Formats: sequence, C-alpha cells, structure tokens
Amino acid sequence: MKTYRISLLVCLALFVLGLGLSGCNKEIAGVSVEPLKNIAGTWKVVQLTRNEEDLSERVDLSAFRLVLKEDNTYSFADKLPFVVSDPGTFSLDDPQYPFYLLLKPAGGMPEGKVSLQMPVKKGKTQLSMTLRPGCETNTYRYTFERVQD
Amino acid sequence: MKKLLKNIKLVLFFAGLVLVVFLANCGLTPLTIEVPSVVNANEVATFILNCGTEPRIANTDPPYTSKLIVGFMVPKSWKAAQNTTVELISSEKGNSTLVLIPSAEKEAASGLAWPDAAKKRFGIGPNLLDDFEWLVYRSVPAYTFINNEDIKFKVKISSKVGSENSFSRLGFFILSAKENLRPEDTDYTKYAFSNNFSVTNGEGDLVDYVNPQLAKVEPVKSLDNDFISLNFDAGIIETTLSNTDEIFLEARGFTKSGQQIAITTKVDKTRLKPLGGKKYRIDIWPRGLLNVPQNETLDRFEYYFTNAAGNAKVGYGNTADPFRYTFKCP
Repeated sequence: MKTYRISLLVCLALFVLGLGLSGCNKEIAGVSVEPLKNIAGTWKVVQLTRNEEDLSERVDLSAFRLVLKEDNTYSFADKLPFVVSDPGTFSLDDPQYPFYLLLKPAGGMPEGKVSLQMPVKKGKTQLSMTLRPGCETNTYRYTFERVQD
Repeated sequence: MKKLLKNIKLVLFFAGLVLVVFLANCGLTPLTIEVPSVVNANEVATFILNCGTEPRIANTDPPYTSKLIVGFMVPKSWKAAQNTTVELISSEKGNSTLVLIPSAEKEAASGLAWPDAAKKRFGIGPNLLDDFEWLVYRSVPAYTFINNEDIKFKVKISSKVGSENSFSRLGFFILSAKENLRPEDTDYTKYAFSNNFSVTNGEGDLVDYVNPQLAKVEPVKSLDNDFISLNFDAGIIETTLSNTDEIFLEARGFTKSGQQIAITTKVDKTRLKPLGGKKYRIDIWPRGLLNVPQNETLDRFEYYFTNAAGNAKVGYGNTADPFRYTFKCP
C-alpha cells in the first residue's frame, strides 16, 4: 500500500514537472527574437592574419584599441593599417544579423566597410573583421576581444 | 602436391608481374614541354606540351571516357585568365579549344577550387618567390578510349606575358578529368616545370623568382597601407653583416609629391628577427614606420640592412646601392 502511494506521488510530481516544462517551451517559442547586437566597448587585437599567414606574434598589436561607444561614435588608440584612420561614427548593416560594420570618419574622408563576424570563444564575444586596407589582393583578418576594465 | 604448390606460386608470380606492367603503363605517357627561354614583354608566348595515352584498362565496359584537363602556372601579373588560349592538337581525336574551369567549381579529391588544388599538389615548383597563379582548363568534348589505344597528342598554350621583366620557371600539368587531382596518382596526372624563362624589354625592376635573393619583400605586390615583410638571407653570400645577429633596417620612403622620409634609428621597431640559418625578417607597416602624413602616399622606398652601429651596410647585390621596392597592386 505504501509503495503504491509513493508511485502515485512520483507520477503526480512528473506530471506537474511535465506541465511546467511544456509551459516553458511555449514561452521560449513566443519570445524567440534575435537580440540587437551590442558591440560597444573597447576592443584590442588578439589575432591578426595576412592572406591566412599569422602575424600576431610578428607585429606589435599591444597598444592598438578600437573604441566603439554607445552613442555610435568610434575612435582609435595607436594606429595599424585599417580601412579608416580618423575617428567618426559607426553603424551595422543589420543590427540583428550584422554582416558589415560601416565606419564613417568625421571630416569627409571616405567611408570604410568591414566584413564582420561575431564568434564566441571561451565565453568571450569576439569581433572578427576582414579588410583590405592596401592592395585588394591582400586580405587581413583582425580578431578583437573586449578589454576588461 | 609440392609440384602443384610450386605451379600455383608461379602462376601468382606471373599474374603479379602482368598486373605491375599493366599499372606501370596505364594512363598518360610522360609529359615533355617546349618553352622558349626569352620572350618580349606584352607579347604572346607559345608553350607546347607533348603527351600521349596508354590505356590498359581491366574493365572496358563501359568504355573509358574522360575529358582532358590542362593546367599551367605563371606570374599573377600576366593576368593570364584574360589573355590565354589552350588548344588540344590531335590527329586521332581532333583539335579543340579548352575552356577555363569556373572558379566556383571544386576539385573533388581536395574539395578546393581547381587553382588552389593545383597549388596544393604542385606548389610553385623550383621557384623561391611566391607570386604565381595556376590556371586550369578543360576540354569541352569527352574522349573515349579502347584498350591499347596508344596515341600521341599536343597541347598548345598561347599566353600574353605581362609587362613586367621577370625570370621564372613555369609549371604545366595534364590530367584525365575522370581521375581528379588525387595526391598519390602519378599515372593519370603528368606535370613538368620549365627551365629558366625570361620576360625582357618590359617595365620596372627584374623580378627574379628563381635565384636566392639577399632581400625579398612579401607580399610581392602591396601598398604603403599593407603590412610588408622584408626578408634578409645573409646565408647566400659573405657580407659585412655575416658575423652579427644584430641587424637593423634603414629605410627611405618617397612620397607621390616628392617628399622623402627616412628612418635610421636602431630601435626595436627597426630590428630584424633571426629566423635561423642566417635568415632574418622584419614586418613593417610602411606608413606607420615612416610616419607618413595623412595626405601623403608612398610611391616607393629604398632600404639597407645595417649593424647596430650603422657603419656596416648591405644593399642590392651586396653593393652600396640600396634595395628598392615600388608600391603597386597587380
């Protein structure tokens, strides 16, 4: 008799749990919208390749920073070959699923367009930018991580 | 019983021998190439590839049918894809013009685009400086072979050489399309690299792809807003820097407006890193290193390798002339 009661309790518990889970599912499905990408922050270069050749240990990347602010302005600390060199304003081609980062320098210099990916590595969001600041035949990939303040 | 065993052994031995002969003779005959040693810049060069077939196919039902693939490797500056015709010349199978394989199409064995697959398999051959591209063409008709249909054929490649003076060795391969560029296959893929091939009476400094150079710049084509790698190979000749590992770069940039900017300081950012074997390298961003003003662009630059004191210098061909590099794109 005791065994029967326990079984009934377990069944009841599972039923309630099942209800709860199915409820959760519905809720998740209802609000499944890709959040807008927030790329604001101060970013440092953790890897640099030229035509797939790794230059990270060969050139000094330590001082270079790309600062993207909440008000959509950007600036640099130190300089590296990049599509633009002056500070200005930035935007994403699609705030939910960005493919490109557009950099518009203040002062009328030409706009720079950077192919953008946002992989997550070891729990950290990275910005992986592909650009050709010199000859079109030379492709660079800058991989950035946020600087921890 | 013993005799029977011996007979079986003998039969197996001959079967094996026949198999080996079959395999050894299967496919294409060795490739020989006719390449001129000198051609004037901007003129059309003709390369003749001589090859043949040796079909020894165990199962000829269905018969062996395949297209012909021809690849060749030339300096990128030729822009050969726009300036080349490739023709099959065969009295047995008829003449036909091959077409460039579209860049989106992948070679099945490597999963790479055909030019990349060819580069993976053959590299840049005996050249030392990598600024080449492989171009891969395929016949439009497919050709059917019966066993022992041994024929000879030629492929004629006509390609306009670029405007640049160069010294290189060109690469060629012929392949049965059915087989793809399998890495281990030497029966259906035949390749050869030419002897020295010169383009003369063209523009600019001679680009020597073949001989070891005291200095070389990578990428071969770049602008002042690229990262460029300057390599110094001190092992090929005795120089005033042979007895030191402390080697620095001295450079002078020439802007489009005629301004000159020089750097002669011996600091970390001008120090070459040893790579072993008396080879050294420095990776620079020319605009950054020479602090080029924003409204200026570098046309070219000249450079020396020096010791820490700056009193021992090595320049072009180990003379007092500087090495020279012009910033330009393909």
